[in-house]
Amino acid sequence: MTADPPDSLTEPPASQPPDRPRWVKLLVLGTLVVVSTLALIALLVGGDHGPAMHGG
Amino acid sequence: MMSPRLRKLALTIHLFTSVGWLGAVLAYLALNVPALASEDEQTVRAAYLMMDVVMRYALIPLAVGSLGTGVAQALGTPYGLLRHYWVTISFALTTVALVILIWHLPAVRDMAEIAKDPQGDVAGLGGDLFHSLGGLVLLIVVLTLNVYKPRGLTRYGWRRAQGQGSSLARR
Repeated sequence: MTADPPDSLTEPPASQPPDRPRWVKLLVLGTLVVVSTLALIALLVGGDHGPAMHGG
Repeated sequence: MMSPRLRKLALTIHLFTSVGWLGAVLAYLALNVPALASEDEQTVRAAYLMMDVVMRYALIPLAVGSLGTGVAQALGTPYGLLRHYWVTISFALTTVALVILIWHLPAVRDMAEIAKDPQGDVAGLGGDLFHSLGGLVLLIVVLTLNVYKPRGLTRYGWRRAQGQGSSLARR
């Protein structure tokens, strides 16, 4: 929070809105893959979400 | 906007609660070791009892503090809450983590109740590695975003920057 000033104070505004950065796309994609995998595992394993569902 | 002194105070509190939250997650994760691996039943019961204590008195209060101070810092500085992708995503992930923590509290309490009952079967509880590791990974992602602050203005941030540029040009 006390490092480089934010982009809006150092970069001149362009005429078009910027594309979404690559790292955001990768992070969102990675999160979707992880959440989908976990949802699939939960569907396959089944059972209630309570004690004895977790870990070993 | 916050004054520099107030910003430093807010940052201090934010770092305290955020690093504390990470430490509490590691403590909670560590309790899974005796819960799953110990052959002494009393040790296993104690681990589940302590997981409930760590959740109630460390994890949740520190998570609330971290989220609150993070929002206060974002709104009180030029970064804003929705102008930069790293801030917005950090805010979203932190909120998700807190919601899951609160949602998971009854299950942790139930495990502690079973552990408290001398007749309770603690061998079948299975620990809580899933949530521990998931929480740890999520906090590491947020920590990384906050340290590296990868560049990228949201559309809202870009429109705000356009507005600031126009107002400066008119002076």
